[in-house]
Amino acid sequence: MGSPVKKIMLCSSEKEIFSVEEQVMVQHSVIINNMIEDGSYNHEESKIPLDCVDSKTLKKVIDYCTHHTHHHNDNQEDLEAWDAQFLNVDSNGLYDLLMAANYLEIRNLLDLIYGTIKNMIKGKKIDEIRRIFNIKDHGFTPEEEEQNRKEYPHFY
Amino acid sequence: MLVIIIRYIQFMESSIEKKGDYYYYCTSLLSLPESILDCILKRLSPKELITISQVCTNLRVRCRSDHLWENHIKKKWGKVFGDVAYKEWQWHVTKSKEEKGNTFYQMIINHNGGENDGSLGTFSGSWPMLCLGSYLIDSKNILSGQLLLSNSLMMMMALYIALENGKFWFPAQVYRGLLVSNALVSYDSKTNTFQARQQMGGWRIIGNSIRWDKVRAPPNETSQCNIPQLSDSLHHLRPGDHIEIQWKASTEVPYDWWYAEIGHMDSCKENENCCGCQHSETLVVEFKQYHVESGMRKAKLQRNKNGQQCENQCGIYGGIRKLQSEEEIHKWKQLFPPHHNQTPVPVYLP
Repeated sequence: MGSPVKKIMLCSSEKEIFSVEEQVMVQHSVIINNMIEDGSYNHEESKIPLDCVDSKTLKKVIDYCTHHTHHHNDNQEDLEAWDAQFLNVDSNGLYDLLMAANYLEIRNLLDLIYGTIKNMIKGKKIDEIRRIFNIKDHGFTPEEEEQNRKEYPHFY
Repeated sequence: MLVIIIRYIQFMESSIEKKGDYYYYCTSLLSLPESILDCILKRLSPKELITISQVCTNLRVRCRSDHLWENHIKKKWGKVFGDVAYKEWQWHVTKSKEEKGNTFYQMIINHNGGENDGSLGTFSGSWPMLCLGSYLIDSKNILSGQLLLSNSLMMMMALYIALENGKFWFPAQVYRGLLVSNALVSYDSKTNTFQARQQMGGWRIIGNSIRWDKVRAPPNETSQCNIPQLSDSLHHLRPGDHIEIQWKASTEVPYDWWYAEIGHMDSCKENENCCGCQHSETLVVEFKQYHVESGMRKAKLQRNKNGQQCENQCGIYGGIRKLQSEEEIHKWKQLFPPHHNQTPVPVYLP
C-alpha cells in the first residue's frame, strides 16, 4: 500500500470547506504551489481561504484541475470535448470562472477561457458583440458611428 | 416628463436578460479587471481588434494601443521589416506632425486639393546616385485621422494598416538569383507577395510577386545607399568564415550583396597547423557558387582597406559582413545552382 493521498483544504467565500488532493492543486495553481513550497501551508491546521471564489465556482475549478490531472494522457479530442462541456455555462458562470482562474493563476484554464471569449467575438457583427458583452452605451457620436460604418462596412 | 418615464421603462426592459438566450450577459467586457481584458485583447487578430475598436469608445482606445499592435507587427512583419524601416516610418510620422502645425503648408495642401499626396522618406548618397529611403502613399489619410485622435499613441496600428494595404514602400533586401539587392518593397495582400523597386535615378521595378522567403530585413545598420558599408574589422576574418560582400559592376549602379567564403592564399597548403592566411595582408574571398576554374571564383582584397576597393578591373567590392547564423548560410546555399561544384556555371558577374 502506498502512503495515503495528501489533501489540502480550500475554503470558499461562503466558508464551505473543500478537501482536494494536494497534487491536483499544486500542479495547476501557481499560487497554491507557491504556498505549499514556501511552507506557509500547514497540513495539520491550515485551510486556504479563497474569499473571492464562491462555492459553485470553486467546485468547478476543482473539477477542472482534477480531471486534467487524472486524464492528461487522454487523447486530445476527448480532452477538448470535456473542456467544451465544462465551459458550457452562462456568462456569469464564465465570468466567475475567469476571475477564479486568474486569482489562483491556473494558466491552462485561463487560456481555455480566453480562447472561448475569442471565439465568441470571431466573425460577429458589431451590434452582436455589443449585445453579447452587454455594452449599452458605445459613446460614439452619430458622426463617428457613421464614419466607422463607412470605413469598415463589412463589420456591420 | 412622460418621455423620461417611458425611456426609463424601456431601459429597464432592455436590461432584463432573456432566459434561454445563449448570450445571456450581465457582466460586461468592460467590468473585467484591466489585466484580464488586456490578456483577451492580446489574443485577438488584427481584424478582430479593429472590429472590437468599433464597439465602444472605451474599447477603441484599448484596441488601438501600441503594445498590442507591436506584437502583430513583430509576428507578421518581423522578418522583413527591420530597424531601418522603422526609422523611416518614424520619419514620416514626425514630418506629418510638423506639417500639421504649419498653417502655410496646410494652405498649399488645401490649394492642391490635398489628395493622393505621398510622403517621401529620407534621402542618402549624392546626386545622381541619390537614394530614397522609403515612400508612404496617401500619407495624409494614413497619418492624419489617426494622429488627431489620440496623439500618436496608435502609430503601430497605423503602421500595420499601411503595411497590409501596401501603402508603405519600406526598405528591405530581396534575394534575386545569386545576390541580394537593397530595394523598397510593398506588400500585396491579394497575392500575399511583395513588389520591389529601386529608387536609383528612376523608380525601377526590380521584382513582382516576390515570396515572403525572398525578402529579408536589412541586417543591422545597412542603409539603402550606394556607399559601401563599413565592414567590421577585416583582420579577424579567417579561412572558412562565411561572409556577405558588397559588389557592383560599375560606379553608376548600386551595390548588391553576394555570398562568399574566406579562402586560403595560393601559397598556402591549407594545413591547419601551418596556415598563416589569417595574418596575411591579403584577404582571399572565394565565391564557391562558381566553378573552380571560373575567373570569378576568387578575389584578393586588402585587409587594411576598409571600404571600396577594385580588383583586376573586375568590378568594385564594398563592405563585408560576417555571417553568424547557420540559418543565413543555409539560405544562401539554397540559391546555389544545382551541382555548382561539378558543372561550370554560365559566367555571371563577378
